[in-house]
Amino acid sequence: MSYVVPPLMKYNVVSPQEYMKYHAESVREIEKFWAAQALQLKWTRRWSQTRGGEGFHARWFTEGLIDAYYNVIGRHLSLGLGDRPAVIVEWEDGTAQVATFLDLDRASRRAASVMQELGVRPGDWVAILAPQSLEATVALLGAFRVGAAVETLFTGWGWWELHKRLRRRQPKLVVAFAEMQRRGKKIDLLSPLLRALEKLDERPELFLVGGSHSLGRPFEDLVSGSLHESSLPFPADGPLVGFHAGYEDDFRPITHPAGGYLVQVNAVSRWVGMRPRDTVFCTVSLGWITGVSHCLLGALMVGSTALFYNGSPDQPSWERWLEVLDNYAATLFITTSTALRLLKKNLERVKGYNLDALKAVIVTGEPLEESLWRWLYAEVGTGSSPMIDSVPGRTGRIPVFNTYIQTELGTFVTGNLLNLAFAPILPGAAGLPIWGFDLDVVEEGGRSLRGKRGRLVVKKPWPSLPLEPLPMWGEYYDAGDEAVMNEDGYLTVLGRADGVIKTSGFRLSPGAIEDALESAGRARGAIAFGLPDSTRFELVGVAIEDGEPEEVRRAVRELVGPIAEPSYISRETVEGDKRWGRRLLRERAAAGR
Amino acid sequence: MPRAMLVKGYELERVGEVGVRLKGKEALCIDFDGRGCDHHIFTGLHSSGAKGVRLPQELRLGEFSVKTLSAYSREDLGVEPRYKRGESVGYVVRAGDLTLYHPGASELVEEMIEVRSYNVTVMIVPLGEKALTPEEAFEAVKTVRPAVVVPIMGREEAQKFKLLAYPYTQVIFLHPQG
Repeated sequence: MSYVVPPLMKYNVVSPQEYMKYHAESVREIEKFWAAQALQLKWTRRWSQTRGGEGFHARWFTEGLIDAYYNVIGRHLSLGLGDRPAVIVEWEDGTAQVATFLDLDRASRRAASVMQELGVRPGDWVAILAPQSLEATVALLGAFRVGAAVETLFTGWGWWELHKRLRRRQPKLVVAFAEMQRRGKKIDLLSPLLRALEKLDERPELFLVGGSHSLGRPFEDLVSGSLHESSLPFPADGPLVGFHAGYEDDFRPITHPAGGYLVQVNAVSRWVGMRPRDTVFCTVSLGWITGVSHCLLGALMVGSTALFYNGSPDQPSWERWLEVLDNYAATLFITTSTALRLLKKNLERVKGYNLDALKAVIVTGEPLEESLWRWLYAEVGTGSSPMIDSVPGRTGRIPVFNTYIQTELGTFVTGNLLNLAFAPILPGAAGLPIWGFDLDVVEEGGRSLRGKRGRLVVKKPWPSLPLEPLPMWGEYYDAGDEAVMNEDGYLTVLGRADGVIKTSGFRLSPGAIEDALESAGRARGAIAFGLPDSTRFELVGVAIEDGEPEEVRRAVRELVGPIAEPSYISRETVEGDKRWGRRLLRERAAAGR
Repeated sequence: MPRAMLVKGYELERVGEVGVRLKGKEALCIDFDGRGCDHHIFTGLHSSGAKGVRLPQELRLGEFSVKTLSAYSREDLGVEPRYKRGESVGYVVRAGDLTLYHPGASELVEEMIEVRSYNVTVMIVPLGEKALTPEEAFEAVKTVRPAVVVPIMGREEAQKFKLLAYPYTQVIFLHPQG
């Protein structure tokens, strides 16, 4: 494999060595580095200490107060830029909704008033179960105005997974879509949600977009309040956004602190390519870290337009995403490897679209193999008009790069930085560590490895360090992935080192699947594991001692969600520890046995 | 291609080659006469429907406030004017928080500078042989500074215009209905 410098970046490239020299400086004086980035934001009260506390229990920007709403929306209004489009949503039926920063401001101020009247206070949680939409955006911003933290729930979760998240967060208020359209059919989101809410000790207020139910009020009621006057600041180390990440035993809550999270999102979104007036087309769900951090909040903070397509990518044909890129003059495209593999499979050649406005394609969620990178670079990363060192329509010319992100890390932590210092792309790799993130690949004792498979770790705490304790590899944060770092510092992620299942960019907990089956009495001795797959990276496999395969599938779909539905079920008894069993089954599957 | 745009509580559609329909509680149709229209206005882009419109004029058409603007070519520049005064008009339509600007068949004229102060949400940009060139349209966009631009008519010109204008505004291609 050799390095590639896309023609667009030919006159703006640094060598990997030069890039890593500045990277080393950024992590050597990591507090100074991130403090400088923090100054890009407006603080209600400046922090007393950039980083307080020890190691990975540290808290950044201690005693600082930050107004999340102002830094996402208000800053643009104060610059007189409220009339710019902030969010555009194209629905499967071809309707495009456009909201300016001012439109979002008005709607979220009304929502904030209603939230406040209903008793949502600073530090409370608001949960959102919605596809990429204006309603989800308004609910999130309304919560930020009143100082409440937000957990966005993936619309593909089954009722049991929804229940666990709601039970842990105990939100005061839930905003949900009753249904959404995919391939012209209605997907029912309300039934699993109502079942999840039923078992809560305290019922949150429920607002429903579309549909109606005696337990929920229409979303229109939420945006009919008076205009909320002034947004409230968050303590820098208080919760702002939350997710649940897959671990071996279960999904665990991950909560990002307001100060460090906003600093990271703002800085990294700019570095990877976002600028004011960009149109960022993103296909990643709001239930996942990339969707919230970069596709929505990052784009808004920078002053870009967040562009979403809310529908199935094959409606009416697999060209739908290309049409979106063309019809809105999208300048950045953020998507996942699995989606691209499906696109490639169904659409070998990309023809008839003008994608000349596009300046980068950013791929996230899982490794981007070299063959897929080459296809993407030549087919989507090309252009129609001439550019030096490229053949229009036939060769690549803009940066197409993979990134590494994790729920726990909050933002991309590797990639190729269009707006900072662009180093060549290594096809098949996830790029170089972004400045300010001390990534390494190490062996058992913590010694750095180059060119050899090892454990991916982060050696120093990053600003958006979650409020929960994290798994450690010696003194370092253990990302749970196996990876190779080459001599220049490029990272190639190989997959999970533990039993966590990585499918279509989602990190699924095998323990959660097993527990769901056991507690529902649908199977005994269940062990869930990852099966290697050329399209989705991994599929879910389940070994059961007894039980009906069809019942097992139905149970997983209902309880955990369709994304976790097993593709393979075997009936067998695996003795010993489940962790060991998962590895054994995965290795056996990888060997084709 | 999106078939309709929802912005500030109004729905905007293209109808045929030149037509535009803006729909709130009522529908205002520009440059087409068909079903689903409560009010009609014509720029003269494709018909002589605009002849006889008094300028400047402010009209109230149901929920829409409509201001007519001159659309023409300068006649004092020493070249044959493409558009004669009186053959076409432009419109600024206001409804709720939305302001829509349609320049009609016009070259770049000083009236467009005035439009900037109207804080245009959506600008309709007619492109092609009988309308603006991509370069002219780009200049018009830089002058008017609309939040969103919807090109109509010339398809090839629309692509060229998009690549000129996207750093300054949000271009959206709408698929014509009917």
